[in-house]
Amino acid sequence: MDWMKISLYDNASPIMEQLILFHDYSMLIISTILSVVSFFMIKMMSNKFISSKILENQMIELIWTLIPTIILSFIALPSLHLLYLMDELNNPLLTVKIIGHQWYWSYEYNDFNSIEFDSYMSSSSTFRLLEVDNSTPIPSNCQTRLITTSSDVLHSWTIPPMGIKMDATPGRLNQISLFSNRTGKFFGQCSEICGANHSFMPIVVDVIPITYFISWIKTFN
Amino acid sequence: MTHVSLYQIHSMPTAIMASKSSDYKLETAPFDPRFPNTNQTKYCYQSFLDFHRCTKYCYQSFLDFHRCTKIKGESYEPCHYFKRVFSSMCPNSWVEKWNDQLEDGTFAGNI
Ligand SMILES: [Cu+2]
Repeated sequence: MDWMKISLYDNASPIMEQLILFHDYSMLIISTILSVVSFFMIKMMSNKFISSKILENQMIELIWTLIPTIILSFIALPSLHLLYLMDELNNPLLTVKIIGHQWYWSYEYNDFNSIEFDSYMSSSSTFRLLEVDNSTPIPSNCQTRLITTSSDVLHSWTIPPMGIKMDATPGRLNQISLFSNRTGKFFGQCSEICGANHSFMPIVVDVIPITYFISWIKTFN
Repeated sequence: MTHVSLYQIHSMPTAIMASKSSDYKLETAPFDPRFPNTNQTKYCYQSFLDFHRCTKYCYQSFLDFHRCTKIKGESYEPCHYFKRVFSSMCPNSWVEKWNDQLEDGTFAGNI
Protein backbone atom coordinates (compact mmCIF):
# COMPACT_ATOMS: atom_id res chain seq x y z
CA MET A 1 0.00 0.00 0.00
CA ASP A 2 1.10 3.50 -0.79
CA TRP A 3 1.04 5.27 2.56
CA MET A 4 0.83 8.71 0.97
CA LYS A 5 -2.69 7.89 -0.09
CA ILE A 6 -3.77 7.84 3.53
CA SER A 7 -3.57 11.64 3.77
CA LEU A 8 -5.35 14.38 1.85
CA TYR A 9 -4.43 15.53 -1.65
CA ASP A 10 -1.72 18.13 -2.03
CA ASN A 11 -3.43 21.47 -1.93
CA ALA A 12 -3.99 23.45 -5.11
CA SER A 13 -5.60 26.49 -3.51
CA PRO A 14 -5.00 28.59 -0.39
CA ILE A 15 -8.34 27.47 1.06
CA MET A 16 -7.36 23.81 0.77
CA GLU A 17 -4.03 24.59 2.39
CA GLN A 18 -5.88 26.03 5.36
CA LEU A 19 -8.28 23.08 5.42
CA ILE A 20 -5.37 20.62 5.54
CA LEU A 21 -3.73 22.61 8.33
CA PHE A 22 -7.01 22.63 10.23
CA HIS A 23 -7.43 18.89 9.70
CA ASP A 24 -3.95 18.19 11.07
CA TYR A 25 -4.50 20.56 13.97
CA SER A 26 -7.79 18.98 15.00
CA MET A 27 -6.33 15.48 14.60
CA LEU A 28 -3.64 16.54 17.03
CA ILE A 29 -6.25 17.53 19.61
CA ILE A 30 -8.35 14.43 18.98
CA SER A 31 -5.43 12.03 19.37
CA THR A 32 -4.33 13.79 22.55
CA ILE A 33 -7.81 13.38 24.03
CA LEU A 34 -7.96 9.78 22.87
CA SER A 35 -4.66 8.91 24.54
CA VAL A 36 -5.43 10.75 27.78
CA VAL A 37 -8.90 9.19 28.06
CA SER A 38 -7.69 5.67 27.28
CA PHE A 39 -4.82 6.10 29.74
CA PHE A 40 -7.29 6.96 32.51
CA MET A 41 -9.68 4.19 31.53
CA ILE A 42 -7.01 1.52 31.68
CA LYS A 43 -5.57 3.02 34.85
CA MET A 44 -8.96 3.04 36.59
CA MET A 45 -9.89 -0.45 35.49
CA SER A 46 -6.60 -1.94 36.59
CA ASN A 47 -6.44 -0.58 40.15
CA LYS A 48 -8.34 -1.70 43.19
CA PHE A 49 -9.47 1.66 44.64
CA ILE A 50 -13.21 1.53 44.94
CA SER A 51 -15.47 3.88 46.83
CA SER A 52 -19.17 3.21 47.26
CA LYS A 53 -19.67 6.52 49.10
CA ILE A 54 -18.98 9.11 46.40
CA LEU A 55 -22.35 10.03 44.91
CA GLU A 56 -21.66 13.56 43.75
CA ASN A 57 -18.87 16.09 43.63
CA GLN A 58 -19.73 19.50 42.24
CA MET A 59 -16.10 20.52 41.84
CA ILE A 60 -15.02 17.67 39.55
CA GLU A 61 -18.21 18.01 37.56
CA LEU A 62 -17.47 21.67 37.00
CA ILE A 63 -13.92 20.88 35.93
CA TRP A 64 -14.85 18.08 33.58
CA THR A 65 -17.42 20.31 31.94
CA LEU A 66 -15.23 23.37 31.60
CA ILE A 67 -12.14 21.67 30.20
CA PRO A 68 -13.95 20.06 27.22
CA THR A 69 -15.73 23.36 26.55
CA ILE A 70 -12.43 25.18 26.31
CA ILE A 71 -10.91 22.45 24.15
CA LEU A 72 -13.94 22.44 21.82
CA SER A 73 -13.82 26.20 21.41
CA PHE A 74 -10.23 25.81 20.20
CA ILE A 75 -11.63 23.62 17.42
CA ALA A 76 -14.85 25.55 16.80
CA LEU A 77 -13.36 29.01 16.33
CA PRO A 78 -10.84 28.16 13.58
CA SER A 79 -13.49 25.96 11.99
CA LEU A 80 -16.01 28.82 11.82
CA HIS A 81 -13.32 31.15 10.59
CA LEU A 82 -12.56 28.78 7.71
CA LEU A 83 -16.23 28.23 6.97
CA TYR A 84 -16.84 31.93 6.46
CA LEU A 85 -13.57 32.35 4.59
CA MET A 86 -14.71 29.75 2.07
CA ASP A 87 -17.88 31.76 1.37
CA GLU A 88 -15.91 34.91 0.72
CA LEU A 89 -15.69 36.09 -2.85
CA ASN A 90 -13.90 39.32 -3.47
CA ASN A 91 -13.59 40.90 -6.90
CA PRO A 92 -13.98 37.88 -9.14
CA LEU A 93 -12.42 38.22 -12.57
CA LEU A 94 -14.33 35.41 -14.14
CA THR A 95 -17.64 33.62 -13.72
CA VAL A 96 -18.07 30.02 -14.78
CA LYS A 97 -21.56 28.56 -14.82
CA ILE A 98 -21.68 24.84 -14.13
CA ILE A 99 -24.88 23.00 -14.98
CA GLY A 100 -25.42 19.42 -13.90
CA HIS A 101 -27.39 17.11 -16.13
CA GLN A 102 -28.27 13.46 -15.99
CA TRP A 103 -25.44 12.44 -16.56
CA TYR A 104 -22.91 14.98 -17.68
CA TRP A 105 -21.80 18.49 -16.82
CA SER A 106 -22.10 21.49 -19.07
CA TYR A 107 -20.20 24.74 -18.69
CA GLU A 108 -20.98 28.29 -19.74
CA TYR A 109 -18.57 31.24 -19.89
CA ASN A 110 -20.51 34.38 -20.70
CA ASP A 111 -18.29 37.25 -19.56
CA PHE A 112 -16.80 38.02 -22.95
CA ASN A 113 -18.39 35.95 -25.65
CA SER A 114 -20.80 33.09 -25.25
CA ILE A 115 -18.86 29.88 -24.70
CA GLU A 116 -20.92 26.82 -23.96
CA PHE A 117 -19.87 23.18 -23.96
CA ASP A 118 -20.81 19.78 -22.57
CA SER A 119 -18.39 17.57 -20.74
CA TYR A 120 -18.96 13.83 -21.00
CA MET A 121 -16.85 11.04 -19.60
CA SER A 122 -14.43 9.72 -22.20
CA SER A 123 -13.56 6.08 -22.51
CA SER A 124 -9.82 6.55 -21.94
CA SER A 125 -8.23 4.06 -19.57
CA THR A 126 -5.32 6.24 -18.43
CA PHE A 127 -7.43 7.56 -15.60
CA ARG A 128 -10.36 5.21 -15.78
CA LEU A 129 -13.77 6.83 -15.09
CA LEU A 130 -12.11 10.19 -14.47
CA GLU A 131 -11.36 11.62 -17.89
CA VAL A 132 -13.74 13.75 -19.93
CA ASP A 133 -13.90 14.80 -23.56
CA ASN A 134 -14.03 18.55 -22.82
CA SER A 135 -12.20 19.64 -19.70
CA THR A 136 -12.84 22.97 -18.01
CA PRO A 137 -10.13 25.64 -18.38
CA ILE A 138 -9.61 27.89 -15.35
CA PRO A 139 -6.91 30.59 -15.19
CA SER A 140 -4.41 30.17 -12.37
CA ASN A 141 -3.95 32.79 -9.64
CA CYS A 142 -7.25 34.33 -10.59
CA GLN A 143 -10.28 34.84 -8.41
CA THR A 144 -13.03 32.88 -10.14
CA ARG A 145 -16.72 32.67 -9.30
CA LEU A 146 -18.34 29.31 -9.86
CA ILE A 147 -22.10 29.21 -10.22
CA THR A 148 -23.58 25.73 -9.95
CA THR A 149 -27.07 24.71 -10.86
CA SER A 150 -28.82 21.70 -12.27
CA SER A 151 -31.33 21.08 -15.01
CA ASP A 152 -32.91 17.96 -13.50
CA VAL A 153 -31.93 16.47 -10.12
CA LEU A 154 -29.38 17.26 -7.41
CA HIS A 155 -25.74 16.91 -8.40
CA SER A 156 -22.61 18.10 -6.66
CA TRP A 157 -19.57 19.61 -8.31
CA THR A 158 -16.35 18.65 -6.58
CA ILE A 159 -12.61 19.23 -6.90
CA PRO A 160 -10.99 17.79 -3.75
CA PRO A 161 -7.49 19.34 -4.14
CA MET A 162 -9.07 22.79 -4.25
CA GLY A 163 -11.40 22.23 -1.35
CA ILE A 164 -14.47 22.74 -3.48
CA LYS A 165 -17.75 20.91 -3.16
CA MET A 166 -20.93 22.67 -4.16
CA ASP A 167 -24.36 21.18 -4.66
CA ALA A 168 -26.03 21.78 -8.01
CA THR A 169 -29.68 22.33 -7.21
CA PRO A 170 -32.39 22.76 -9.85
CA GLY A 171 -33.89 26.26 -9.79
CA ARG A 172 -31.19 27.66 -7.57
CA LEU A 173 -27.77 29.17 -8.27
CA ASN A 174 -25.05 28.33 -5.80
CA GLN A 175 -21.89 30.34 -5.71
CA ILE A 176 -18.44 29.32 -4.59
CA SER A 177 -15.10 30.97 -5.16
CA LEU A 178 -12.14 29.25 -6.72
CA PHE A 179 -8.58 30.46 -6.55
CA SER A 180 -6.03 27.98 -7.80
CA ASN A 181 -2.39 28.83 -7.21
CA ARG A 182 -1.16 25.74 -9.00
CA THR A 183 -1.42 24.83 -12.65
CA GLY A 184 -2.33 21.34 -13.70
CA LYS A 185 -5.10 18.89 -14.35
CA PHE A 186 -7.45 18.27 -11.45
CA PHE A 187 -10.08 15.58 -11.16
CA GLY A 188 -13.34 15.29 -9.33
CA GLN A 189 -16.53 13.30 -9.44
CA CYS A 190 -20.19 14.08 -8.96
CA SER A 191 -20.79 13.87 -5.23
CA GLU A 192 -24.53 13.76 -4.87
CA ILE A 193 -26.27 10.57 -5.87
CA CYS A 194 -28.16 11.56 -9.00
CA GLY A 195 -29.27 8.36 -10.69
CA ALA A 196 -28.01 5.38 -12.62
CA ASN A 197 -24.92 6.97 -14.17
CA HIS A 198 -23.90 9.02 -11.14
CA SER A 199 -20.48 7.36 -11.17
CA PHE A 200 -19.90 8.25 -14.80
CA MET A 201 -20.00 12.05 -14.82
CA PRO A 202 -16.47 13.06 -13.78
CA ILE A 203 -15.10 16.60 -13.60
CA VAL A 204 -11.76 17.68 -15.04
CA VAL A 205 -10.41 21.16 -14.46
CA ASP A 206 -7.37 22.41 -16.37
CA VAL A 207 -5.71 25.19 -14.45
CA ILE A 208 -3.66 27.13 -16.98
CA PRO A 209 -1.75 30.43 -16.91
CA ILE A 210 -3.97 33.38 -17.60
CA THR A 211 -2.30 34.20 -20.93
CA TYR A 212 -3.16 30.72 -22.23
CA PHE A 213 -6.67 31.13 -20.90
CA ILE A 214 -7.10 34.38 -22.80
CA SER A 215 -5.88 32.82 -26.01
CA TRP A 216 -8.35 29.98 -25.42
CA ILE A 217 -11.16 32.57 -25.15
CA LYS A 218 -9.97 34.24 -28.32
CA THR A 219 -10.36 31.02 -30.32
CA PHE A 220 -14.12 31.45 -29.87
CA ASN A 221 -14.23 34.93 -31.44
CA MET B 1 5.03 39.21 -22.93
CA THR B 2 8.18 40.67 -21.38
CA HIS B 3 10.19 38.56 -18.99
CA VAL B 4 8.95 38.76 -15.41
CA SER B 5 10.31 36.94 -12.39
CA LEU B 6 8.33 34.29 -10.58
CA TYR B 7 7.93 36.61 -7.62
CA GLN B 8 6.39 39.29 -9.82
CA ILE B 9 3.97 36.84 -11.34
CA HIS B 10 2.72 35.87 -7.91
CA SER B 11 2.47 39.38 -6.56
CA MET B 12 1.02 41.08 -9.61
CA PRO B 13 -2.76 41.29 -9.77
CA THR B 14 -3.84 38.99 -12.51
CA ALA B 15 -6.02 41.56 -14.21
CA ILE B 16 -3.03 43.78 -14.83
CA MET B 17 -1.08 40.80 -16.08
CA ALA B 18 -3.85 40.06 -18.48
CA SER B 19 -4.04 43.56 -19.83
CA LYS B 20 -0.26 43.69 -20.21
CA SER B 21 0.01 40.49 -22.14
CA SER B 22 -2.85 41.26 -24.48
CA ASP B 23 -5.66 43.64 -25.17
CA TYR B 24 -8.11 41.32 -23.40
CA LYS B 25 -9.40 42.22 -19.97
CA LEU B 26 -11.08 39.67 -17.77
CA GLU B 27 -14.17 41.20 -16.28
CA THR B 28 -17.24 39.71 -14.69
CA ALA B 29 -20.23 40.61 -12.55
CA PRO B 30 -18.82 42.17 -9.36
CA PHE B 31 -19.61 41.08 -5.83
CA ASP B 32 -23.02 42.47 -4.92
CA PRO B 33 -23.46 43.16 -1.18
CA ARG B 34 -27.20 42.54 -1.55
CA PHE B 35 -26.36 38.89 -2.16
CA PRO B 36 -23.55 37.89 0.20
CA ASN B 37 -24.54 34.23 0.58
CA THR B 38 -24.02 31.04 -1.37
CA ASN B 39 -27.45 31.30 -2.93
CA GLN B 40 -27.14 33.59 -5.95
CA THR B 41 -30.47 32.82 -7.63
CA LYS B 42 -31.88 36.22 -6.76
CA TYR B 43 -28.80 38.03 -8.06
CA CYS B 44 -29.29 36.54 -11.48
CA TYR B 45 -33.04 37.15 -11.44
CA GLN B 46 -32.68 40.65 -10.02
CA SER B 47 -30.20 41.67 -12.68
CA PHE B 48 -32.53 40.28 -15.33
CA LEU B 49 -35.34 42.42 -13.91
CA ASP B 50 -33.03 45.41 -13.47
CA PHE B 51 -31.97 45.16 -17.07
CA HIS B 52 -35.51 45.08 -18.38
CA ARG B 53 -36.70 47.80 -16.04
CA CYS B 54 -33.79 49.86 -17.11
CA THR B 55 -34.51 49.21 -20.77
CA LYS B 56 -38.06 50.29 -20.17
CA TYR B 57 -36.85 53.37 -18.39
CA CYS B 58 -34.40 54.03 -21.16
CA TYR B 59 -37.08 53.50 -23.71
CA GLN B 60 -39.30 55.95 -21.84
CA SER B 61 -36.58 58.51 -21.70
CA PHE B 62 -35.93 57.79 -25.35
CA LEU B 63 -39.52 58.74 -26.11
CA ASP B 64 -39.33 61.78 -23.85
CA PHE B 65 -36.18 63.03 -25.38
CA HIS B 66 -36.97 61.89 -28.86
CA ARG B 67 -38.52 65.14 -29.98
CA CYS B 68 -35.70 67.40 -28.93
CA THR B 69 -32.57 65.23 -28.57
CA LYS B 70 -31.53 61.90 -29.92
CA ILE B 71 -29.03 61.07 -27.21
CA LYS B 72 -30.60 58.41 -24.97
CA GLY B 73 -32.40 55.32 -26.15
CA GLU B 74 -32.45 51.53 -26.21
CA SER B 75 -28.70 51.67 -26.58
CA TYR B 76 -28.37 53.69 -23.36
CA GLU B 77 -25.06 52.36 -22.11
CA PRO B 78 -25.70 51.98 -18.31
CA CYS B 79 -28.46 49.45 -19.06
CA HIS B 80 -26.00 47.13 -20.64
CA TYR B 81 -24.24 46.80 -17.32
CA PHE B 82 -27.25 44.76 -16.09
CA LYS B 83 -27.26 42.76 -19.26
CA ARG B 84 -23.62 41.86 -18.69
CA VAL B 85 -24.41 40.92 -15.10
CA PHE B 86 -27.26 38.61 -15.95
CA SER B 87 -25.40 37.03 -18.86
CA SER B 88 -22.56 36.24 -16.48
CA MET B 89 -24.79 34.99 -13.69
CA CYS B 90 -27.80 33.27 -15.28
CA PRO B 91 -27.72 29.96 -17.10
CA ASN B 92 -28.42 30.56 -20.78
CA SER B 93 -31.45 28.28 -20.65
CA TRP B 94 -33.05 30.49 -17.99
CA VAL B 95 -32.50 33.64 -20.01
CA GLU B 96 -33.93 31.98 -23.11
CA LYS B 97 -36.98 30.86 -21.15
CA TRP B 98 -37.57 34.33 -19.72
CA ASN B 99 -37.12 35.98 -23.09
CA ASP B 100 -39.71 33.62 -24.55
CA GLN B 101 -42.07 34.44 -21.70
CA LEU B 102 -41.50 38.15 -22.22
CA GLU B 103 -42.38 37.73 -25.88
CA ASP B 104 -45.56 35.83 -25.04
CA GLY B 105 -46.44 38.26 -22.27
CA THR B 106 -46.43 35.49 -19.67
CA PHE B 107 -43.39 36.69 -17.73
CA ALA B 108 -44.21 36.59 -14.02
CA GLY B 109 -41.81 39.31 -12.94
CA ASN B 110 -42.79 42.92 -12.49
CA ILE B 111 -40.76 44.91 -14.98
CU1 LIG C 1 -24.25 12.39 -9.24
